[in-house]
Amino acid sequence: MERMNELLEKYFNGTTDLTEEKALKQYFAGTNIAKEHEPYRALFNAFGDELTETAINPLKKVSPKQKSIKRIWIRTFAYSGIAATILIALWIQRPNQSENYAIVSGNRIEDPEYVQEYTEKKLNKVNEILHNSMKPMKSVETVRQSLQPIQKIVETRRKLEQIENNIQFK
Amino acid sequence: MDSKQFNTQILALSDKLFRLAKSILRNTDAAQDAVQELSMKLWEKRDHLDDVENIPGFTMRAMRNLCLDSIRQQKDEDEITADVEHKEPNPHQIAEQKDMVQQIRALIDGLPELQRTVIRMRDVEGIEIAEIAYITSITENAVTVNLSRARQKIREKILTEQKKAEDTVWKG
Repeated sequence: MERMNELLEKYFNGTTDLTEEKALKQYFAGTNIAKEHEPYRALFNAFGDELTETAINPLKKVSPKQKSIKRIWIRTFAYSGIAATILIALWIQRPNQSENYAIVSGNRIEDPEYVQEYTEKKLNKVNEILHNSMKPMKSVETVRQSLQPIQKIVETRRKLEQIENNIQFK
Repeated sequence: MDSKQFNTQILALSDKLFRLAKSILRNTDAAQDAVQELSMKLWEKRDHLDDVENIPGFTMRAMRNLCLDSIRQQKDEDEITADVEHKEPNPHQIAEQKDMVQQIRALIDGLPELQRTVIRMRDVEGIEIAEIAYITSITENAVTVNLSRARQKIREKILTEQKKAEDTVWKG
């Protein structure tokens, strides 16, 4: 009783600590309240009553998928940058292979001197084959030139026949 | 601050924020809107929240400032002064309250904004004086003074109503 009177005085002077205020709340929540303290019962009950009030529409919990457009753009740029960096790194670290090579009998040859020598040999061989292949053509030309006088005889004969025909009609 | 931290640290305060907003604005719908608005603003600035040491205090302080800004936007300076200094329900309104608890709540609502905010933070939410000082941007001594004044006013009202009731019974 005396203790509660002291606590109430401290309370209304604003000098109680949280523990003392908790003791007052427990006292007024009970049934053994002194008659002189009865008017204050509603005060402490009102505090408890207000504490039960909750937000009518509790805030919707934020989903991890709920991101702002700005953040999505930032992430897009970040991922693009990472991808570009990886590609550049792969390009720089690629195996150092020569782009000048030849396939000879199914084998990859990268020695340029060997390839040049081999190519010259092959081209010479092709040239030789072509040269030999053209020989019959020269013979045909010779025959054609030798037949040219015969062709002239044929033409002369045709002209004579035309003249002969003309004379017979007259 | 990621969404998980936001849910556990900010949204966990939604009921406290609502009660604070309702105490200042004295309107349930307006309080609800204020809580939603604050949560949106904090979500947009969540990257900066990692630097905040006292998240509950910071959030409560932001809630109070948002509510005070809302009041300022709706009223002109004279009305604000009137609201902050004193605005208590008349005896007729109090008499209409169905029970004593509702009367007490109406009495608290009639206190100036700072006093009703301080008494509710302390007596409803159980917040330390230093934390209330941080939230309301005043000194701890000023918190104690406002708390004492608020409690004394409520006590006077309670005793006045008690005396009236006894007189009525005596006369009857």
